[in-house]
Amino acid sequence: MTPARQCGVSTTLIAWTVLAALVVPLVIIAVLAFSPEMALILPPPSFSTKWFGELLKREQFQTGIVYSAQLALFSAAFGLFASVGVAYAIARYRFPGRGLIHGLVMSPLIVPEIVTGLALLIWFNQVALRWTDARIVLLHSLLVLPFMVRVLTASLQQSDRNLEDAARLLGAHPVTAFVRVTLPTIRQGIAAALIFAVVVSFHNFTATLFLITNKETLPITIFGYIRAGGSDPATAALSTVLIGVTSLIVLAVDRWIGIERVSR
Amino acid sequence: MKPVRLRIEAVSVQLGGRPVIKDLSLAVEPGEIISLLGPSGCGKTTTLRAVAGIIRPDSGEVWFDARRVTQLPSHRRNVGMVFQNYALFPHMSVIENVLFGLKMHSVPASERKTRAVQALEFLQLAAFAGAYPDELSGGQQQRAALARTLVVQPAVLLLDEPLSALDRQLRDVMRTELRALLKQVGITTVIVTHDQQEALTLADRVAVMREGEIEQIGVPRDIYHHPANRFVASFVGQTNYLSGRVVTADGGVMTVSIGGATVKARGARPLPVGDRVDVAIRPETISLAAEGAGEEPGHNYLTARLCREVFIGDSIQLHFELADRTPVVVAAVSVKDSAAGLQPGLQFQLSWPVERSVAFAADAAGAKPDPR
Repeated sequence: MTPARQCGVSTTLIAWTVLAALVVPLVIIAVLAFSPEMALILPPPSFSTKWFGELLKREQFQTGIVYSAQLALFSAAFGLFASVGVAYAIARYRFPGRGLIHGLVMSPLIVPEIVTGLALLIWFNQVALRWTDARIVLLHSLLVLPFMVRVLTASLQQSDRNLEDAARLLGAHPVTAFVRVTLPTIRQGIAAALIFAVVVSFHNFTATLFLITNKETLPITIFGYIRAGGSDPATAALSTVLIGVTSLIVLAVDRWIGIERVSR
Repeated sequence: MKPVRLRIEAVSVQLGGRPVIKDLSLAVEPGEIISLLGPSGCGKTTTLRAVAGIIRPDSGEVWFDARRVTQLPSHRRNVGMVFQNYALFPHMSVIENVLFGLKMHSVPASERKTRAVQALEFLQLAAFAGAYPDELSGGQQQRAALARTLVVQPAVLLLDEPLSALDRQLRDVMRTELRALLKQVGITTVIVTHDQQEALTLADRVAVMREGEIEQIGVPRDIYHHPANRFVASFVGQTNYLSGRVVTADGGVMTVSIGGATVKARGARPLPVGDRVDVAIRPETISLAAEGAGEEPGHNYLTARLCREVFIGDSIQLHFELADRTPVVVAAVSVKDSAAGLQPGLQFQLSWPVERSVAFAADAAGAKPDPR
């Protein structure tokens, strides 16, 4: 580590401005959520939790949460299957095209979501996949892949290869060795990858917009609600809940595994 | 289980386009312990991995008795291997580690428990059956890895640097214990090590390797006292080298002129008169004689000046210089020899038996760098 250096005044100022730009909007949302008023007024005249109660009465939010949660779970499960395979190949073997595969898997991070969404829409129509739920699960599985592959590759690279060889030498078939020895040793990585996938899938808006039909995911429900003139603190309350839950998850991952190990 | 004869026949392995093992052949007799000794990168671990089936040789064959196993994947070879870091499954307790192989070999459930417990008792680990690997000391981990490997009764046992992960005191104890244990089991064993002491004490025979080839194979005493070349002499034990020229060659013994003096030495192989040679002498074979004392037959004598004395504990090292400033190290036993009179600057007569010094051709040795 390099020794700590004294920062200049301007550097410190810029740093705090950027941090404020990140945090202040979230704080404003949270403050508004506790307003008793209909309109979004700052500062709220008094303190109330009525909009949190109101959330439970809005059926569209509830169906949105349930649908998003279902999609997130299926996408995470799908993504896990695909990413374990990819990560294993990248971590354990050197083969021609390894870099290309790695690049392709990481591409959802770079390709604009609008392009991904539109491309999949056209593609699904071409292959006549009409089942919307399957379409969105496939889209989300793609979107979560870079995060999952990265976490799992790091885990596999840190796990001791000798363990797998030892299991094989004790008579275990390579598949058995992988399932009974390698998977348990990277279970923290698997858990972290799943959490990442759930969060990414649950939050996705842009690409999902291309594929939804009659059922809406939660982010799309919220957007539609506001577009329809629903500018009351109910959405602020909902956002606050989402921020809170996500923060708790990130904190839990950090305490449990260390966020640096997951995100590098 | 009847011990197996392991035969490695003309095996070559390339890794990343680089030859790591070159046409290597080696036979290990049933129940024999062989150690592969060499510097890192000499191909000894790769040889072990080829026997284990972790890597496939590019050419050559591996035989267990009359069974050719070259193409068998490692899970069908019945080879036991103890890894350098032991590779105990961290998510399983000691007994679960031991049970794993029995399960994989489809041993009936009723028999498994008995055999696992027996194996743990044999290695004095019964009290730690429920412990997890990270709760064990290094020595216990090693015994757990041995128990896990031996319980499935492998045809051949492979040990990769078995003692390197242990601290020094434990290593000294385990060297003797491990050999006794392997002999008790009677299993054909290949040990890989870069530690010459480990190789000499553990094995029945030692194969010294360099750059993917076996330089010399033999019983430990032969390797130490009759090294086949300068590499083996340098890698196994400490050696003094005196450069000179062959004056006369008479059968196995040649006379070599060194500076102003002449000494006699055995030749690893016959060398013509006039050739440049290095005469190798082990530090502990040299003794000190007072100047002017009578000369014993069959001994070499050289006059040298004492430069300094290095105290090691159980021994001392005396650093001498010959008239031409060639350094010579003499190892002596502390108590016996560290008497008064060893004043730096004084002249002494160094003497050693002719049969204890070997002459190597100087050119061949110069071609490859000294490993130390």
